[in-house]
Amino acid sequence: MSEKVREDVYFNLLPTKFEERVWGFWDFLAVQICFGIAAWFFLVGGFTGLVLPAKLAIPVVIFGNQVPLFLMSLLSLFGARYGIEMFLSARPMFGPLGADAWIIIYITSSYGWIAYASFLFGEAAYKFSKILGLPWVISTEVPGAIIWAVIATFIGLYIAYKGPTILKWFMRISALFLMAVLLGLIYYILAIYGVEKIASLPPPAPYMKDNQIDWPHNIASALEWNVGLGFSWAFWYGQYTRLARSESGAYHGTLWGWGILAGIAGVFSALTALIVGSFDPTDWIVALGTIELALIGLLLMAIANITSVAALVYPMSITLRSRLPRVKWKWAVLITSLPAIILENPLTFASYNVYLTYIALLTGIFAGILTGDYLLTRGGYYLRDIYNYKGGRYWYFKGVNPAGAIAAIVATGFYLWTWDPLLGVSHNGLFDKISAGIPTFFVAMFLYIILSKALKLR
Amino acid sequence: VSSEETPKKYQEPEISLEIPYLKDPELLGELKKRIEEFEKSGIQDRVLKGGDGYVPRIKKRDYIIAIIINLAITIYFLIAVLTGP
Repeated sequence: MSEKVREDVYFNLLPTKFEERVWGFWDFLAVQICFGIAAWFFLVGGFTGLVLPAKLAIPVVIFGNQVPLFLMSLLSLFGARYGIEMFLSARPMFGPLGADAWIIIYITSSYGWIAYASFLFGEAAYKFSKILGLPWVISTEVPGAIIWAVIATFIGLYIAYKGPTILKWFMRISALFLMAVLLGLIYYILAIYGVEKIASLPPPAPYMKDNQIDWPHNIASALEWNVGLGFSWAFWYGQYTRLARSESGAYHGTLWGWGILAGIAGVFSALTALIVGSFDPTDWIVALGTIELALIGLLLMAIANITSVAALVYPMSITLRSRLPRVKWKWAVLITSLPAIILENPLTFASYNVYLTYIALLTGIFAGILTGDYLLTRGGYYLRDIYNYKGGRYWYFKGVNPAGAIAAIVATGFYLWTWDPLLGVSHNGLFDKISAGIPTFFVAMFLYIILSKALKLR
Repeated sequence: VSSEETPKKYQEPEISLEIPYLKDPELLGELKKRIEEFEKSGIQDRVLKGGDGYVPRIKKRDYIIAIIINLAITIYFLIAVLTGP
């Protein structure tokens, strides 16, 4: 095997064989903790803490992130079993053209994640620069936070460019640091403010109805943001689990690393939001006012967010090259990261909760359909036909699996009927009772199963 | 010179595979080789019958661990929501 082909195993579309697998359970756990602990958890926790007291915020963060991961945990097995990335795995469920449509959705929607991770670092860095009295250009939100965010994007894409081995070592060290600092900061919060005081703090900005806190709506909204983050991992499994040495390692590493362990970051920021009254956890770091704590906070935000940018760009580039193998690795990394810079601004940053509901819609449907197909097939597929772009058994009707397409369209309609993120209304009035993301997952899954059987596709 | 010492010319496996966007002959050849290996070594039949793929298959106990922990989290969530703020 030539050097080029050997290299392509980790950077392109070839199925990875057993002897090429480089990641065991602990590597997975470390990578997914680093990937998980970043802007997305800090911000979702922050928004949750704005509308719910600690007694509700903590279980909502944990349940909202962990249970969607459990519901779709079978997605971790495709990549491990066949050595393929996520959107090749999606071909039997959507057909090659349908899976291509999901690649476009995946890459364009993921620019948002890069922007949030980079900009949260930018927020921390400009506030720290301000404490140190550095020049205004780097110590104001505009342009300071934007400049720092762009720097974070470039460092992250460089790590991704170096590939999975560098990523693995970087993550192993960072995961330990992140967990230690986060647990330390939570202990610090509890020691300074006291458990009783934090538990009694009212949420600073809840949704109101007739001058009363609208608890059902606050719980459903916070749950939906967290479920959006929980389901969002649906797009990211295969690019990593194709490197797993066992299905068990892939399954547990992603289930707990992205779930309850990374969720500690969400709990931390929910508590800081209750104390400071801001969804941005960097405000709390500044509010404490000591240089030492601000420095620890800055380091936390830097390592958490930059490693996550790398952890985003690497799988996005793998997916891009699996469909466009002629694109060089360097260009794939740049294409999947640089457009995010447009989104690195305060306006996008403050709209994170709306972004999460759209992500819940997209990824809940994607995960529901893939899970439905796994239940039908027990994960048994023809590798040759997964790769066969035309004419194979997964070509279906003009390159699209009608069961997958119909299930996705109907489930989209169901989600928007239940919760319209743009207007912020529930057209059927069910949102406050059942939320939207988890029910949509089940609608997509069951409809796909019924249609596949009815159309005799499985 | 014996036949064993003669360098073997690379032969592309004869399997049907239509990937219009994959133009690189070496990469396409390697992909075909891997798929053929997957089929001929019995992995393809094995996965269709619920067996191991490239790596050892997930076990029942993995699912049981996941179910127990997620059930506990769900009960914790339900108690918190039902007892209110």
